[in-house]
Amino acid sequence: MPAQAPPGAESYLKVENVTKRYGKVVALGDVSLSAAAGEFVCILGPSGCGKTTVLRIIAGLEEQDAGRVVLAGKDVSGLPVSRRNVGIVFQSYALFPNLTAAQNVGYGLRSRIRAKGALHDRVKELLRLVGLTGFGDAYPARMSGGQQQRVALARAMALSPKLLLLDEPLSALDAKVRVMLRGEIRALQRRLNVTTVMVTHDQEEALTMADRILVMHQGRVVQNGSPRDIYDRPATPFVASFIGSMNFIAGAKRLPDGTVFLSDRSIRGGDGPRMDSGLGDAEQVTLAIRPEDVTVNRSGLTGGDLWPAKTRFLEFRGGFFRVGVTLFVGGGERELLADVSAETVRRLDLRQDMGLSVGLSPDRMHVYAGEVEPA
Amino acid sequence: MNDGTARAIGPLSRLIPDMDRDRALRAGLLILLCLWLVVFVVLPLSTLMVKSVSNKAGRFVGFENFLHYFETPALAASFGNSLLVSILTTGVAVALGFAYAYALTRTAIPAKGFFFGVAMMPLFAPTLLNGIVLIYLFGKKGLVTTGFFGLLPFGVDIGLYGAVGIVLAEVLYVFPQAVLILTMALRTTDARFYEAARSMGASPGRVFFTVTLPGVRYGLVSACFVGFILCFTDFGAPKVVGGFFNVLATDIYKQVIGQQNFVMGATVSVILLIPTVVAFVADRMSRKRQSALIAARCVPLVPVPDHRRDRLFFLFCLSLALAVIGFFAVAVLASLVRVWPYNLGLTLAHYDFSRMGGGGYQAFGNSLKMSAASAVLGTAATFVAAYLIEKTSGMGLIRRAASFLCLVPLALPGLVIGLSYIFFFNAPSFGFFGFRVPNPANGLYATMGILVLSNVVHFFTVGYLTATTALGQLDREFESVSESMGVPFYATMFRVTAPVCLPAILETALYYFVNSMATVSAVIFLYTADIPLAAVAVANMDDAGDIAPACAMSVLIVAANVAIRLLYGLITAGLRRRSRAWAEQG
Repeated sequence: MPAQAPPGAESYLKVENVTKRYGKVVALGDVSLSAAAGEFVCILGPSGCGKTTVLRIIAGLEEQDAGRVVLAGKDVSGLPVSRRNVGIVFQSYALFPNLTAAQNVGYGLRSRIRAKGALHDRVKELLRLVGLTGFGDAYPARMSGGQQQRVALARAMALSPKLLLLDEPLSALDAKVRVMLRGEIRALQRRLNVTTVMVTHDQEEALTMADRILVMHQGRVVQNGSPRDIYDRPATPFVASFIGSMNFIAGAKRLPDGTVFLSDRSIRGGDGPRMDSGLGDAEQVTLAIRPEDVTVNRSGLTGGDLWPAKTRFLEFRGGFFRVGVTLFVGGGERELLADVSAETVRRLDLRQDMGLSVGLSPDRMHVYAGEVEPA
Repeated sequence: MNDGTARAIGPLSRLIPDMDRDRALRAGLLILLCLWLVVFVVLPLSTLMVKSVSNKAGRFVGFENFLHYFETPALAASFGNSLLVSILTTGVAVALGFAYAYALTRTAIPAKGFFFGVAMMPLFAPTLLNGIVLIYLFGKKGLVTTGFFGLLPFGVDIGLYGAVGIVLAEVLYVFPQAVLILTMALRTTDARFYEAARSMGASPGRVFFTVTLPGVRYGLVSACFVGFILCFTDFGAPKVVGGFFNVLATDIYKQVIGQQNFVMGATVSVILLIPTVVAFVADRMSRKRQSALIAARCVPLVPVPDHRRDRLFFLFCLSLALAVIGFFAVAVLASLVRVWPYNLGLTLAHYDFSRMGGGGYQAFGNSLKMSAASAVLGTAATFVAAYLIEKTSGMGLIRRAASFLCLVPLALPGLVIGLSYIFFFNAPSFGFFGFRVPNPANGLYATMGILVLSNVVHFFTVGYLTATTALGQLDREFESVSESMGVPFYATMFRVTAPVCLPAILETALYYFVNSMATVSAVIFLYTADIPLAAVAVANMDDAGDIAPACAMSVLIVAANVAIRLLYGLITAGLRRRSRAWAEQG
């Protein structure tokens, strides 16, 4: 899949065909990515997928076995991290414990700004930028996790880097602080217009913060696109189940002309189902639909996109219910999850073991080749 | 830098990953470290080995020297003797040490800090003193032998000189080390094992044999091997109370100093070295296993009071502590008494060394200087070595080589280091396949420099391991952070790493000072008449029969070490106060 930089924007960062092996283990197999100037790119994937390795190679903290890293049109593959003009925020923050917040932020500036007054002003400005005015004399151990994170961010921005690299910057924080800092980091990044690559395993973080998401799996980039793209058109079953939830309905058939049948009914609609690009001429296919796209109706209604079904359980989730549904397909059964609003549950008086009709809109349906192992 | 040059350095950067100035400097320092260890450890040791398979004329004779050794009954007996006293000592010291450590960690007795401190006291004294005090207690005119100078109607003669005396002196020497290792092992446990065992109704005895002992088995093994090595290679105690009971360590000394038979000295050294290296390797292996036992999240075990058990252990610790204190009290007393046991009036006459051999206060001053220099240089060397090995990424091969070389000194007895230094630094030149190469380090021979160096090497590994542990607890990304900001690694080392590791650094400095003050084994071959040393003076005065002045000099050594220990306590307390501002809570 080609990298999709916004039109007109020059790629500031380009990673081309990078591979990395640790002994016999292939950590990265031919990874390419790019980021336009000022773009916020998220590398998303489960732990061990190689995303942190990509970040460390971009930073120059690790060296690739093959491939290049290009920054602002210059090949920096052989350059050490100190010559790449990048700011890094580590997962552990790596704040120096014996230095105050101000000394941490000014750490890299000391050798560059000789005048004490100018150094002091710059540090003060940086602390103000991350909302830590007045905390300059505090030691990291005496600060909250969120404050430590901001110090790390200010320190990374101290040398005005052209590229900001964030390695799971929010994973050590409480849920509430995390949500707040997401917005703040994004706002700061927009204001300073610094190209940013963030590594995370948290899909919500990626979806809310990124201009563009790269999904990685087993050392490879499996999808590259906008958050909406990734969510609405997951390129593989892995992406589909890793980001959000996905129902997989096995045992569908595909005819040579492209029509898809589940049991004896063809799945056809306005746009039709979204075919996986890697479908080839597979006959056995799996259908997929997100729980929030499954609609529930009173029983008795059939035909069109409606299928007879029965509730298995209702799980209260606050604003909605997650409902386990058994779908009757021809002679067989399939198990599905549906997210049903509290209002609908009340209106239909949904209870366990109740018959109903389930709507599977072809427009919201994805088709993947073969059998899909539920994740 | 344009594309062309970037590509040009591509192949080079593959040879040495991430080549740049900072990295080059680290690589250079690592190579320097390896070279230093090769010159001051590997080469001298090799010279010693070569000597042991050569005849007096320097011709290669294979294992002839070793055959000769084992065919001479007077010599071969020492090997068995050394083994015998070492095994006995280890058994007694580890048993006592285990009970003592158990009391300190698993019972609710009071005054644990005091008991621990007292148990460590023998570390401050040369082992010569252990022997000397035993003479004052159990010798022909000893306190116990004469029934407290006739106050009691009977006296007890334990037949001190020989195996009995050596074992008694060495138990005192090994005991603190055993307590150190075993308290560490007993402390790293998980309270949940004990809760689980008790919830299943296991009796205390069963818990001890099924949970406690298996949990510290590697610590016990380690204590045994360390005890064995210490005793097997010690020279001071057998020198004073060995009598006609020869051991390997005294044999080396007699061969070299008494008979000027360097070849046989080297041969015996190698014989001494082999069991030591075996025990060393076994110890390293069991330590690795012990640390693997420690789970990430342990619930610390808090001992529950149990009056009967606690009283028993308290009495046990008290009697051992009183024995140690009494031991040092006798040392002080003996150094102050006019003529033991005939005239018990007090005098400072024995502290006037002017009419004695050995060097007197000049020797004491030299020892202070040497120990201070060893502490400063040794601490710096071990910390920098540990930093380079621990905090450099990549360069795997050279780092592995360096870390191996850093462990070697721990396996080398002081006598072996001393003797091999004579061979290595005294040689004006070396022959290689017919070429003569002048010895560049020859200038060091018979200087203060070689004394300090021998100490730096002798105690290197313990300092290195202390620094490695301290560095391992720091965030691995400190180096990446400073690298990314273009701050050179040495700046971060001085501004962040070293200050954070200061407690470990001071501990290493203390260790170096105390051991350099007390050691005789390495320096006894290396000192010269111009540079006498206190601990060597003790040995020489004892040799000459001036036991009271020897005792007085030992007391001075202990006093200097205690003073340094108190200073260390003050500094660390001040440090803790200052670092409270930034140290992690709890």
